[in-house]
Amino acid sequence: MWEQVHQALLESLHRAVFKVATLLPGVLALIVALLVSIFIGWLLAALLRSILHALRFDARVEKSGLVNISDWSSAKTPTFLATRILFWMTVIAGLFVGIAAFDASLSSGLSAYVVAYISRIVAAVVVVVIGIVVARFLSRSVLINGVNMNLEHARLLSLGAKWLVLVFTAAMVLDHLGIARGIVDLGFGILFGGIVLALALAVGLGSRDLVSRSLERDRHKMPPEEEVVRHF
Amino acid sequence: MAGLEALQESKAESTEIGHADLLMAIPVPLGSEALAPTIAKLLRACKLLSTPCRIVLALPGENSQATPAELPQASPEPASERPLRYVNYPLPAALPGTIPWLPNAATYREIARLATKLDARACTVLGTDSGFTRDSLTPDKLTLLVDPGIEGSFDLVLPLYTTQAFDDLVNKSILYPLTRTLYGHRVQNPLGTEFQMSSKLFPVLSAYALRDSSQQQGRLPWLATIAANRNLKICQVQLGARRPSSSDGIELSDALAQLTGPLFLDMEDNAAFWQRIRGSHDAPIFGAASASAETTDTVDVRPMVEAFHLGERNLREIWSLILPPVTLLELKKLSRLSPDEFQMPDTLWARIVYDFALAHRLRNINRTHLFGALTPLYLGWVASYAVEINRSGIAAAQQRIEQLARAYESEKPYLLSRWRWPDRFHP
Repeated sequence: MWEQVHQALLESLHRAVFKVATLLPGVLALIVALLVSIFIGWLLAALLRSILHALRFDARVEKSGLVNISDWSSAKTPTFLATRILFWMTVIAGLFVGIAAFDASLSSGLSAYVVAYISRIVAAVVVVVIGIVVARFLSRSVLINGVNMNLEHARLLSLGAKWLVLVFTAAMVLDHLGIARGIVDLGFGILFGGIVLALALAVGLGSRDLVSRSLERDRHKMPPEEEVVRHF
Repeated sequence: MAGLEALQESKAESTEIGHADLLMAIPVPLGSEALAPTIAKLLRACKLLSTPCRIVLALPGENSQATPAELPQASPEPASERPLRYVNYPLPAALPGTIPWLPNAATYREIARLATKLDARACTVLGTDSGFTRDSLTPDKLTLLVDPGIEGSFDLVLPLYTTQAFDDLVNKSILYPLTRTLYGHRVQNPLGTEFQMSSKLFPVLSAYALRDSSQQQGRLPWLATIAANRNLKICQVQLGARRPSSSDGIELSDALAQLTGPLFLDMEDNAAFWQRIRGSHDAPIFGAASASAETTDTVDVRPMVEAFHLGERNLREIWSLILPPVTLLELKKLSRLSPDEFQMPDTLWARIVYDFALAHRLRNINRTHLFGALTPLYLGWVASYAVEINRSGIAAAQQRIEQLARAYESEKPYLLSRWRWPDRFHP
């Protein structure tokens, strides 16, 4: 009986080592593909950077006035943005190659699944970046306009706008990635509906006097200075 | 398409009219009630000119009342001998939200192209503010504006208005002192909407680049800086009191962006030139200053001080992207003052404007946000100015603006340092 147990263990070990040995070339191929793609990406980005500098790309974009990239993103120059995009596209392509090699060694349908999911992750990252940029822009717009309209709670409004966009973005990203889709839909619906209802109740009941006092004060405050001081 | 047709019509009309010594242009559509008295006034002024000349009046093509055939004629002489002839030119439509009396590059370009076609010696642009044209611009004042250019003694004739202490404050606090400091010419209305230019400026305006993408019709050409850059001769003429421009429905931050933005853009374009300029000199003034009927009202500064305090509490984070720590500290100290003691030092205000000009160039934040963030600071300066005028009397207003302009000049080394080495640490 001990011999049979010994035999079963040996066979199991043999199978496990065989499996690891089959997987190893795939893992190595994935790592090599990633490293090579990072190197090629870096090389291509450097080449593109020097070409764009030679063509005075930044100055041309600035002069054409087609896009005000710095208004919307943290990228300092259009060249920086273009080289970063090229670099990451090369790295992602390398990753696909590596996964395909890994998949071939594994002889399973992993590659197709991972590739499909990676494309979702890339789209989700893009949504997150856009969401953050839009949230920052809207938050500043609401804050500055609120201050210039003499709203005492401009900062609160600005924070509200920022978090509304961020929460909305998070819900979109989770939904896109297919993570707890039902809970996200339900949770977001409840949260969003709750916020709107709370605001309506707050303004309608709790802050009725405050709002009317504020409007009254604004009505009495503005006209005299406008009659005497003329800015242009 | 419509613009092209209008331009072709304009070409045909200018070919018929031929040569002109002087082109007078009205850059905004005038209503029928304003058009007739303006033209009557121009006809009277033509007779007062020291040098007789052939004058063509250019009216915006969109003005249906102003088709040449329907306009009044001064005398029964043949068309070629009439003192004033008419031509239409295409007027680009104004964008919503823009200051109605502020012309754009496209309008000035059309006028300059027309003047070039007519081979005019000079071009007088009249009254974008129709109220001024109708009420204040008398024939003798108009003659004063026209003569220097016709005689060929000056290339740019800018207006000098008699304003009240609390009028035209964006110009007094930013446009005049900044232009004077940068380019060395003491012209009190660098953005004069009535002016005359010689033929040397036509090619510049005709080719004026539409480089500001936020305004499809191009940014406003800053004539005083264009002339200063080319070492052209500039003078000012006393045009008397000017009725304040209409500000209905225009947000202060939008007005600041539209008036100050082009000057900041000019600073970027002409950095190599203005960095060499030191000090300033008077531009010659023609005509006698008329006394203004000053109101004796004092200004309630509390709303403006409150606006500043609100900005200080909420916009500190945004200001820190634009202003150095020492300026933020000064602003914090200011926020502790009561409205009666509120006093923003001139040097502090000058540095703030310089820092905003630099941030505009570096695009530290979105440019619309930039002017929004400047608004509470500007109201702080207005409050400080009003406190001082309330205390020392309205007579001190002119002197006060002169003092501010000198502070701008004394702080120019700060601007140079920040402009040349923006990444260097400024405490």
